[in-house]
Amino acid sequence: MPESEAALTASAQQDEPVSSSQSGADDPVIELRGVEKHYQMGSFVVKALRGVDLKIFPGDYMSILGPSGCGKSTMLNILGCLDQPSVGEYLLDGVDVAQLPDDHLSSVRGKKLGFIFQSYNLIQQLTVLENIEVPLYYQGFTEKESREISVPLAEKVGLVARSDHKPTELSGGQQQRVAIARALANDPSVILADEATGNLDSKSGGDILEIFDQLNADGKTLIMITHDETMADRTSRVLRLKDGEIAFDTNVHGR
Amino acid sequence: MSFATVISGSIRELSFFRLRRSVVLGIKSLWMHKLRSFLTALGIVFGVASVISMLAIGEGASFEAQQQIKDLGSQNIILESVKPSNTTTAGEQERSLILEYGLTYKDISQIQATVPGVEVTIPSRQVKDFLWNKSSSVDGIALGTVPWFPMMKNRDILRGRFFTDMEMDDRSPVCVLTASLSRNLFPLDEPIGKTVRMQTSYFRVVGVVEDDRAIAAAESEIEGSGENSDGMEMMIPITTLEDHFGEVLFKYRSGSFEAEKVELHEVTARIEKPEQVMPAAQAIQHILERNHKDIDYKMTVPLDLLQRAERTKQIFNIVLGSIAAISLLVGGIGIMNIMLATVTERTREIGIRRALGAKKKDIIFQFLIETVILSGAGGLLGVGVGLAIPMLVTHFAEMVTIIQFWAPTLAFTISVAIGVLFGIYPAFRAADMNPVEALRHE
Ligand SMILES: Nc1ncnc2c1ncn2[C@@H]1O[C@H](COP(=O)(O)OP(=O)(O)O)[C@@H](O)[C@H]1O
Ligand SMILES: [Mg+2]
Repeated sequence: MPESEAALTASAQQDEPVSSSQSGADDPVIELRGVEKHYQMGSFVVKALRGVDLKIFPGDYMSILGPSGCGKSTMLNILGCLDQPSVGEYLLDGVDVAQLPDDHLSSVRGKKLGFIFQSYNLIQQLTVLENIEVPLYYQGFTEKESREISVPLAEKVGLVARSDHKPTELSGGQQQRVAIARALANDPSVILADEATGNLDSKSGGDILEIFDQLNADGKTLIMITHDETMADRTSRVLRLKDGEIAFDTNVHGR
Repeated sequence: MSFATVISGSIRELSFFRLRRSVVLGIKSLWMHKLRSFLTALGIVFGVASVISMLAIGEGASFEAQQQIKDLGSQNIILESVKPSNTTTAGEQERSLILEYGLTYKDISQIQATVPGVEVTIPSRQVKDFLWNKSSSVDGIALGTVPWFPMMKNRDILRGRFFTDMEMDDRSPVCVLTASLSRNLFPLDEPIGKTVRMQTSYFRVVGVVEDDRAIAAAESEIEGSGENSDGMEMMIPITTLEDHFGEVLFKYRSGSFEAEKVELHEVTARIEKPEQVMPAAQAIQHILERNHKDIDYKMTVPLDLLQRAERTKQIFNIVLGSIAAISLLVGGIGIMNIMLATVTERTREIGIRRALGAKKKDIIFQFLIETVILSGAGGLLGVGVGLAIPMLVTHFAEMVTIIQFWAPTLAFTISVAIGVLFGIYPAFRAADMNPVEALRHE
């Protein structure tokens, strides 16, 4: 198990110089090939995804829309390596992660992906800075190194003054900003947000979206699920799902 | 994912700093529910405290018992004359005359001649009466014995000397006082060279010998029991005793004289080798059974008592061990129960951590550390309480307690082991959660 993990890290490390040397923007950071997800529900099978092909490129700012139950969250969970496809391939930075063992998926999540959830999902017993440092902890950063990363991030989302507060002492918008800072801690390739503004009032939601815009402007790849058409308008790419299939995709790159 | 993989993996990645952060994190999580954590640890506290204090008290009690037995001499067999409880066999007519009972010189000579391993015998005979120094007196005993008495009975000579073989042969009127008698009769001046009187006989003091430790110990326990001539002994050659007080001893008791004839009150047989003690005791028993119709003697074998005490202690330790094991088991189950509840309650946190890059073994490690902190803190507290209880017992009940250094160490180690043992299942439950479902958990 450790050997194959080392192999993964090695291949991931090798992968980056290769892709950047070959006119980097052309290589997708994410590629789904014929991805299906089946759930066994008693005697019959629910097909939450039915053959999804998708390429996401570095710097993409993509919103995923679709009616409830169409498979948005399922797709995001697979993109986020929290779940694995029943059928198909998933290439993340050129590495097939579809059938990796659990430990390797954890590494991939910790190194390459950032998550933002609808319900913030901060850890209650930790302070703002400590929450931001959680992903760093699992990558073996020391306390000092972690502090050097978390403080600027808290600053970036405007919460330096609240550094030592616990989540319960913050508003929803502030909590979500902590979650964003946390998602950025490991400098991930892709940030995934599942209805990140769903629990927020329009003012706080707007603040969050502004941060997203800024992150994308800085070159981050961002994928967000939303219900709100006006939010989708801000993104450069819109993906519509219906019954587990891609119904519409404004692939701005035209590839 | 097997437990061994997890442990080896954890150890591989375990740096001091990482461990410290895990511990800090664990304490933070436990601190969120202070009362619950405290109550959970309490099971271990009581378990550990009871193990340590019961061991200390048991150890102290058996030490005291063994010490008393050892003071009797583990290579000695002690025979005492006892007034038989019913004298019907002695005949009605004898009752009004002289009551004759107890050990005899015949017994001794047979024992010395036939029992293998008997190195030496120490006979003694005693007369109870007042001992006088001029006008001050004390109720005491004149103990007739042999010159090798102090050596064989492990009694140190504090001053002067013991009487000699020659003095015994010469039936000299010399005496050696026990320390407490010397203190009583000669509180201020030097006893050696002075004379002590019993009835009409005078004895010159030649030395002071230390008190019998067993009697001294017994006396310190029963304080202030008034009529106590125990320990107030004047030792004189056994030959001298016979010369001065005769064979028949008169006692004035509740208005009538009682006459007793006892040849020897006590005989101690010293056996050469420890392994000969038990067979010798049996042989002596046979001789006495043959020579005495009534049971007018009592045999004490310190080695036998010692072995019995050791067996009792072993049984005590087994019983104690089982009680301790049960109480720690109960504590462990309590911990496991709470940890399972904690894991369920923190399903969401587990999902978050998994999403942020935690591996299964990180989750296992986190919850295992938490359980070990809980049980370890309980263990530590238990050691504190367990060390305090014996001190209080010693202070208030005046009992000897002995804390052996391994007892708290072992109890603490076991409490930590219990944390690991009972933490494994909840930790694996936590780690085996599906991240997606864990994140959806309310
Ligand atoms: N763990 C699961 N077990 C069974 N069915 C599931 C599970 N997760 C999702 N589904 C089903 O898959 C479909 C897509 O769900 P989801 O991706 O959550 O939709 P969305 O996020 O677009 O609302 C739904 O029909 C849902 O019932
Ligand atoms: Mg959803």
